[in-house]
Amino acid sequence: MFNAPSQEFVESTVGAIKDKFTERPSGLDLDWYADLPAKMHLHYEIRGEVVVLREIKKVEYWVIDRNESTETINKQVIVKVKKESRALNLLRIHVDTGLIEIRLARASSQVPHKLWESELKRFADRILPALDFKLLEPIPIWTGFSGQLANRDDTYLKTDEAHDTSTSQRISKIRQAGSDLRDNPDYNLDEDRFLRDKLNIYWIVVSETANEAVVHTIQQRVKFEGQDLGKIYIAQHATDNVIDHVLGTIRSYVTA
Amino acid sequence: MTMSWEQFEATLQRSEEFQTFVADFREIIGDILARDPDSAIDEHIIASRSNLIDENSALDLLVMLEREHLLKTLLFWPCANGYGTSREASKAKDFPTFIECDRCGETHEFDQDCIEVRFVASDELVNSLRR
Repeated sequence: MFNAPSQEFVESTVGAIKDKFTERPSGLDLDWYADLPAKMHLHYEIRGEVVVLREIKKVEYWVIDRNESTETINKQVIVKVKKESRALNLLRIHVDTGLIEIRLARASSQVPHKLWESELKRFADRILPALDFKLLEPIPIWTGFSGQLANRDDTYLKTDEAHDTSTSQRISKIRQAGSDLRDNPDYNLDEDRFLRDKLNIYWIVVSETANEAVVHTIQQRVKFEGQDLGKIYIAQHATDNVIDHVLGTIRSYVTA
Repeated sequence: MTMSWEQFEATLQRSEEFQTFVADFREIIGDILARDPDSAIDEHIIASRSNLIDENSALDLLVMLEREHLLKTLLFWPCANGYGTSREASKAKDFPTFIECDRCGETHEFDQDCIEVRFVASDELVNSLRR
């Protein structure tokens, strides 16, 4: 998540998007909706006060086939099969507030915290004709980690790690169910002396229809090309409304 | 039908083998569950907290409690990156081949050898010990 440096910047970026990219076709494009699109799409769309540049593509990755893999006393044969899936990456510009988000699909079963860097670099290069994201001001979500931890009504904690001047500590619940980690008598990582670059926290989101969604987020302060960025990993599929709500809440805790 | 802790304790009192352990066992289990009713218990934890009960006897006692439905067995799939439990299940076949771990955010592949077996308390046991 980023803030635009000025309203003029937002307007010129939206102008450049309209100039350099094409609007999403209005007709029915089956490949746009396909589970495995044959080609890569990059179109913009205007949704009220939000301009969305949407990249849709097919990604491939390898997974181990345990049924085909074999092991004998002196030989191990590991068979990997290629998997394909649809990936959706977004640039979202909130014209009214100057908030800018880059959302990247995980799009692989592989280690996501190593994948994001190359994927962000590739996506940034693709949108460069309209936006140099190095000019944006990253939102320091890490300044809100303590505030999020103090919110016991809307969050749930299973694991936590932090450090002070002499120790680094990690504490995790063994049980999946049951009480919040913060209820454990040994938990003290919410004390002021502890620092953290990562927060692994669940958000309980109650919609207007009283349906409850639990959204697992892993929030991190990461370095990207010399700059500190706030990265938020959302583990499961969620509706746009729910994601918007969670991101908005996370942003509301930022103190810097 | 579930036995109460008191009935279970009375059974142990009649057993020559376990008679000396009963008070110690009750205190340890009581402490653990008072601290956190969702605790996962195994024979190592019991034996490490007792000067009287060794691991074999502790396991025998836990299995007896399970037979009386005061404890139940759970299987734990630990996060490969050391963030606690990725998934728990009653039976190994309930685990998927791959799991998106909600502790570390990565995908782990099921490995039977990594599964840990522990006991957790029934509501009846927690309530019995509170009485």
